[in-house]
Amino acid sequence: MEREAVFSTVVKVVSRFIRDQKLLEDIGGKTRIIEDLDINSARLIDVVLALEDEYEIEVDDSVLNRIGTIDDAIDVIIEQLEGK
Amino acid sequence: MIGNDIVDLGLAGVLGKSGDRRFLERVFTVRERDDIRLAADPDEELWALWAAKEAAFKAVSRAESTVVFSPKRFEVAADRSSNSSGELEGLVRHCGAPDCQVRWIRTPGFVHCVGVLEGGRSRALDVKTAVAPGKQLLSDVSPEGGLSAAELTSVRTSQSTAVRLLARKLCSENGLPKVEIIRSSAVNGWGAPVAFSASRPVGNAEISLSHDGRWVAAALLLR
Repeated sequence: MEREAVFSTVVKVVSRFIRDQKLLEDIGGKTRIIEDLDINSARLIDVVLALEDEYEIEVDDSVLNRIGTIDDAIDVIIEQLEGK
Repeated sequence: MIGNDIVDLGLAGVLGKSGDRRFLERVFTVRERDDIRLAADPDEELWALWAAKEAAFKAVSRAESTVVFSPKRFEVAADRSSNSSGELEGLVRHCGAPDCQVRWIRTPGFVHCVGVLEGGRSRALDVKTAVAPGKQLLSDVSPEGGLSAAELTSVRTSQSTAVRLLARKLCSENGLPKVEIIRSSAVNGWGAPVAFSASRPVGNAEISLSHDGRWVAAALLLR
């Protein structure tokens, strides 16, 4: 799975939960999902559920704290896919 | 140790969430799901429970930075009672940590919860809180709101500015004038906010910030 493809999918999924689409203009791997994109923690759960659907994976609660940035989300997805 | 959380009940996706079975199963215990289902207003109950879990997590994570926000592991106790101010109080239990005492304000526009964890001695009533519409706080100030360069480091949105202004106001009303509200960079995001005065942390004050949609909220515990 190419990292760039996962990045695009993560951005597409995250964008569904962002109220101010302008915040997507500078989005990159280092973007902090909660602080930079103004996504609250309840919506972060929705993002994780949507990513689980997209990739047919299950993200354990124990790794939720690791998902701070877009890069973190990509890392978790790739790890889950490689472990399948 | 304190934490607080606010939920704007007017945001899209907030009302009707009690029908989102997958979200419910991911976040709430069986007993909490029963509480939501049987509540007069299931959506408001859902967000009250959520806010309590989030407030408790913020409080616990100040004491234990490695704690994981696994929402089901923060269970809101069924017993709740009204205090002398008419606010609901309750407990959030998290395995391995002392119970976190929580206090809610529930209005048609928002649900706010503050939690306090004091090494076994809880005192939610001692926590000062403030809730306001963010726009109202920003209407009379410049875009940066007069925040210092150190404060602006962790500011990304206008509501981030507004919540710091509210926290400053809350501090000022409680004998701490001219403070800065600074969050340092942490491994996954920003660390807990700290009140600074004359470039030094105010040792006897603990601050918690929250914002959602239109609303911003701050909590202050003075030791």
